[in-house]
Amino acid sequence: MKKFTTLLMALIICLFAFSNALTQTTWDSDNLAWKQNKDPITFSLYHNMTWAPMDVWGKDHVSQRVTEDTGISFDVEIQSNAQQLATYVAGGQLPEAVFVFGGANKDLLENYDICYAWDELIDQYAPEMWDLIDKSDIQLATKSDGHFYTLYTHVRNQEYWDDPGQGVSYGENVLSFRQDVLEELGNPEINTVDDLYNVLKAAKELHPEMVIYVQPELNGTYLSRCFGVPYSGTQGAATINDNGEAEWVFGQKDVLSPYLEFANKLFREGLLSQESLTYDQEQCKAAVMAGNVFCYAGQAYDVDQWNKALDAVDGNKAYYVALRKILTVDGELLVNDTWGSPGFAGFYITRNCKEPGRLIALMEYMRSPYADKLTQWGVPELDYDMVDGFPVQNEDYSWKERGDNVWYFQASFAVENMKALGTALKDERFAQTAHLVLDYKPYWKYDVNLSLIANAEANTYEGDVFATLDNLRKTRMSSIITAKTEEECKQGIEEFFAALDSAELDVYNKFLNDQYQAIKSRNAE
Amino acid sequence: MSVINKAKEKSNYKARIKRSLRRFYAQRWLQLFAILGFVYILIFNYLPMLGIQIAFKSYKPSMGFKGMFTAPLARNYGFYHFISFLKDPNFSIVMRNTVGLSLMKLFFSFPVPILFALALNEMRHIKIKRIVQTVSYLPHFISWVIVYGILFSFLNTSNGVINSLLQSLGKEKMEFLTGKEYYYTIAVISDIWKEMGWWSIIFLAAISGIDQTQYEAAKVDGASRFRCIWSITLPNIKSTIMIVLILAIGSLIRGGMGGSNFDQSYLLGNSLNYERSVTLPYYVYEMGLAQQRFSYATAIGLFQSVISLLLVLISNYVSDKLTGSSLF
Repeated sequence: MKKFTTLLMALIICLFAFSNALTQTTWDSDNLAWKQNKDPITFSLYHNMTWAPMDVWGKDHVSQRVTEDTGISFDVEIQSNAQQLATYVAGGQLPEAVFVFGGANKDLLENYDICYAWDELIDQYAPEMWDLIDKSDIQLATKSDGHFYTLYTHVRNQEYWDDPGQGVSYGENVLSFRQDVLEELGNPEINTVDDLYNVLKAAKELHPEMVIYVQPELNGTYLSRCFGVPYSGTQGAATINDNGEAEWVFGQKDVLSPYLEFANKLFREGLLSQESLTYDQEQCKAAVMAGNVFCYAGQAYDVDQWNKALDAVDGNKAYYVALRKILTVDGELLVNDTWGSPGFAGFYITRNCKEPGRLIALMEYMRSPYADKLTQWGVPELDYDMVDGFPVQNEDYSWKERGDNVWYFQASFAVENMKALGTALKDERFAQTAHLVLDYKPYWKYDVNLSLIANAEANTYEGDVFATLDNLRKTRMSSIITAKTEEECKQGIEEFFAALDSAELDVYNKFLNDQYQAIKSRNAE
Repeated sequence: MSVINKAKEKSNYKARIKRSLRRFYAQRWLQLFAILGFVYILIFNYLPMLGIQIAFKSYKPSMGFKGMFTAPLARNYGFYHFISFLKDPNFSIVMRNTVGLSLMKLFFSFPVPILFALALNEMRHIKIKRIVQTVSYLPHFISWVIVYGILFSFLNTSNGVINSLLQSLGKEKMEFLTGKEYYYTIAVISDIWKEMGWWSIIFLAAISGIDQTQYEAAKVDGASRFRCIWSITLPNIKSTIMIVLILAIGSLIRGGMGGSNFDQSYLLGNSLNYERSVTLPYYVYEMGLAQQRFSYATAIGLFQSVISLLLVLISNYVSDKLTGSSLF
């Protein structure tokens, strides 16, 4: 009898598990919320992807397909100035949906009075969605009030960092040299920062008319990384010091000083272009396209894109090769980059939304692998074809016509990178990105606790301190690099750190570290 | 007696009101313009002053319009944002640049339109005079963004006209756009170029109102053209000069007559010339509005307005005492 009861119990458990597996929601299930209601509806949408080539929904392949699939379309407004979103919030004039990147914007919207909490909307309108969301994505987006107001795009979680097949972002900051000039110099080995200095100097002697080294304000961090200045795109621009404490990236004097002194040496010897320190990406590209730059710092993706652009110029001889490693300093590899960002952008459903259920259903659609590829690669067979497992986009259509990477409200990082690799694979001469994203991955560490730190909120004491610190960084570091003498540079460094101290760097570091230690112990439990 | 007087006064008062109303009705269309102007000023200049109170509060955008009234008082009895600004590591740099640059603009930009107007007035060839006048005030209508584009084309080191010229002469290139030592000069010269013609219109208008018989009489007495300018033209436009000067001093912090401090800081400024290019109006934007620190921005803005008001009052008083011309 006992044996029979045990067998019966086992059978019941098996049947229960089997039926559960059968009813488990997948991205193809028929019970998905977005499949239940496809009535046409239009929502107002504000976004700050100002680089997007279009500001109208429904004129490109992607948005047309999304509307076809879900019935949803948008009246779109693109940000026209930095304080617009805050003004909308203050005036209670937010549109129904907001899609934004940037810590301050996200912090502003992640507020129960301003936006709907996704967890509540999912419970109410799309409970099956819980089966489809990665728990680590929820963890990264959950705020101190226990709600999450969005799930971020381009999340890089532990699974991603553990996967050796996944490269880092194609926005990785690298250094590129003009190949013909390197050949003239005898293709010297460049392994250390001293090697770099020697190569730049030799290039100047050989070609005094050239702009030797261009280091733009944006994406120009390669050299500072060699000296161990950590990645600053983390939450609160925090890094972990040798004692395991979180602190502000630019507050580490022992790390920052050698970099600033080295960069100043390059400047004083006429190797580093002063004007380039203020360049944005377009200005940097223009300088490179002028055909007179020997070496420039930029994104991995830029190398291929700009080589391609140069290749299209009649009589062009320039072709740039990117360094596939980080340089050492006095024989030591100092690079200290830790990934600590929860994601790129967030899609927020504001309290002004008349039908939040339709938008949370749209998010369910957007998170599906199908919509992920649609919004980042375009419409299959129209905008791209798969070649060796990578999407290769059809060049017959412009970005504006395709509409990819604009309406990517729940985009994943892996799908974005596959497109970059696919683009690179079209022609070996323009395929450096494919190697660089893999070459540079070993230099990175991941700390989920760092990703969970909250930024100092504007209009709080810590927020005010951070605003001052960040302003000092932006405005003083370039002056130090362009100091006329070594003494002036050293004095500038001393004054910079004294100014940081007077701006209460210790208060901000405590704010970061208190959070970090609390999150760390909570996660350890 | 007094009862009769009171009754008389009352009927006089009534008659006066009636007369006023009748006059008002007769001028109703003209008055409408004045009323619209008054309403405009009330809505856009006075009502927003309610918002000044957030300079003394810990306001957050998420508090909405109501938050302006309900936000808690900032620390230090509401003066936290003002103290923060005074303690800001960039305070001395911002104030030095704002006052220094504005004074330079006032010193160099103010006399130029007067001299230009005098020179134009002396021009006898009407056609050339009109062409010069039109060409000179056209830059006023060009936005600072375009002016920056023009300056960039002339001054950049890659392919700027000036640097290409210097290079062809065997000279070293000059970092006009990033070198902090050039910022003040570029800011003042571009300000003069842009606004000189526009402001000269006011002085030309004043000059054209001078009674011509004075010049004729002076000529009969053998006065030279310079003597006519010195003894007739300048004294006659003195009150206009003083009023423009008072207005220019009032907007000193914003960059004087052109009010160009913000635009120049925003467009010509960068991290390399920041030490010279950051001015108070730009700092309000950079550290306040762009950072969503509305209370802080309002506090600095209020600080700026108080200084401007004091400058207007002082210059008005001094002008009144020295020349007898004043705004109020």
